[in-house]
Amino acid sequence: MYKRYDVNIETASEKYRANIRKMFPQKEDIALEAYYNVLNERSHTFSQLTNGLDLKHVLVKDTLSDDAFEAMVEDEIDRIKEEKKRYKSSMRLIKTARNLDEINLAVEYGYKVLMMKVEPSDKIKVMYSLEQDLETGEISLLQDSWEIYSHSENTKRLIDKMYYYPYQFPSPFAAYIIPSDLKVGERVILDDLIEDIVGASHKMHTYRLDSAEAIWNGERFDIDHNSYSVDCSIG
Amino acid sequence: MQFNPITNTLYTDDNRFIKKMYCPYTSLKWSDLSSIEGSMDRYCDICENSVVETDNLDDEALWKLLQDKPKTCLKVDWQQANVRIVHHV
Repeated sequence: MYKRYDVNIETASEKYRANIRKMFPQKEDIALEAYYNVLNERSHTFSQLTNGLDLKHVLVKDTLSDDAFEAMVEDEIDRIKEEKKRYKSSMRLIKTARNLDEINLAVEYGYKVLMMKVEPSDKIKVMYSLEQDLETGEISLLQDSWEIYSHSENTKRLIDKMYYYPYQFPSPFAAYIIPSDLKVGERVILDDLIEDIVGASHKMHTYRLDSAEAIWNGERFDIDHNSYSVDCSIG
Repeated sequence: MQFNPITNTLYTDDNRFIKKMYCPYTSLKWSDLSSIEGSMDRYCDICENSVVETDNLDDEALWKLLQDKPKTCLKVDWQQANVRIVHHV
């Protein structure tokens, strides 16, 4: 299936995605990117070879074997991984000062500080309920959605399905600590995000993002909202 | 085990602290990491460390692992069967 030069790259993902996943079950997205790159390269080569030819009268036979194509995709996967590794490890971590002492210490050490308000977002919230055992009087906190939406016998709901903002910060302000040699356009990782951005949702709960990639524009950081995708916790 | 996404902290079911999870590379996905042959764990090319898949580990095994090697990197999928999401531990 990979040998056909007439494969439409735009639709190839729909047609071959399942097969790509079977071939590279643990490399998914990178494998797809590698597959596109190799296919694109082959198509480009084909276009160059057939430029100006009337293809109705040309019989094109692809001599590239499946094994050879697969090897090219594997090589491309390794190249993409190496590139991503170099790219990620080259990004500087920008630290955050969370109280006045930390901020003034950074200033004392010659750093610039970007002061910001700590403003809770109403999109970030978790749900809870409180119920009381009617026999023992014990009060229990319900956090899991299944617990919250089910009803236990011999209990009474004291507080039901309430949302609240669960994060606490030392001060209503914070500051990113800016290295003096930070260049406009430089991509960095904001290690402790001041802005409230929804990072993950789980059942009825939404949580803030801890860190994100951003670009320094000379005055502030433009957060790259494509730079995070929290599907699990690693650390 | 219990995971608190607010503090990014992992505990056993009987509330023993396992680890506070931290990784600045929020864009890193599990599928970005290199597979390790014969293991469910994966390898992070940035930190050059293995990342332990916790899906099949019980509390005791995980707790002991982190007691021996506190800097072990873990992967916790919030949907996995052996994890309960909590906010008040």
